[in-house]
Amino acid sequence: MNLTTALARLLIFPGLLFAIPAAWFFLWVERKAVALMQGRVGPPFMQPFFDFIKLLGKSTPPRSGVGGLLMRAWPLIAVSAAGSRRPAAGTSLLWRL
Amino acid sequence: MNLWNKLMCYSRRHSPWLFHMNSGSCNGCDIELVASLTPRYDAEQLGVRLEGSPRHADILCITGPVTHNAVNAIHTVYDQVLGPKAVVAIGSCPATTNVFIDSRTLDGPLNKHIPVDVFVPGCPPRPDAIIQGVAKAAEILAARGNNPPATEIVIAETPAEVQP
Repeated sequence: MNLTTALARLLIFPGLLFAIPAAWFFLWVERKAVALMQGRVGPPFMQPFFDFIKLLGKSTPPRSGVGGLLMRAWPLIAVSAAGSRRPAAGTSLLWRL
Repeated sequence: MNLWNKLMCYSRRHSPWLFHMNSGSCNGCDIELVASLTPRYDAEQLGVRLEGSPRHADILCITGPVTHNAVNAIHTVYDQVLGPKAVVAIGSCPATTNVFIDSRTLDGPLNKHIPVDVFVPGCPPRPDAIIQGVAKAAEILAARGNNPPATEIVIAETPAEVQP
């Protein structure tokens, strides 16, 4: 597996570009299925996407004793730590880097 | 207004998450708020979700006349809700302290302490009126964004065509 394939797997097919909309879709499927079983209409198709965009626009809570930059970077550090442990795509790419 | 702001405004209007707080209510309005989230009224069509933490919420739903014990809790919870946020006062109690007016145990009404965006009158209000109030609060929230709250007050009325 060369670097291009690894990057494509990490970023496109099983990776970010596919996995994030798929996660939104299955969240919607779950909520809509519950709604249909209860005999109601349920959330619109884009609901998880709207929730995501709305949460991006929420303000950051003030913290005392933690530096502002580290506080903002911490979610990104956590995500990249989790991504480096992905068995198929992540490891081979990160071993090369 | 560029595309990102339009999308953010639309998303805020379509996903109001509620945090429910009781400030000494008789539980009537709390039951009606929970009833408005049941399958019969289906508030999830509007993207409404009841959250367990004020950190996750956009709209703070407060019931009850404000008792002395609840004042500090109201300020704490209001500060814990991250901006942009809106406040919906559910029932007649937070608006006017209702039948408990002049009680020595109260420190109300609610807008003495925090800025309230929408009042939903009623004792208790119907679930339809609560959903309408939340929808109006979501519109106000989306239009306002991160600007400070305005002083103009909106009163949500019970929809006339509703059959009990």
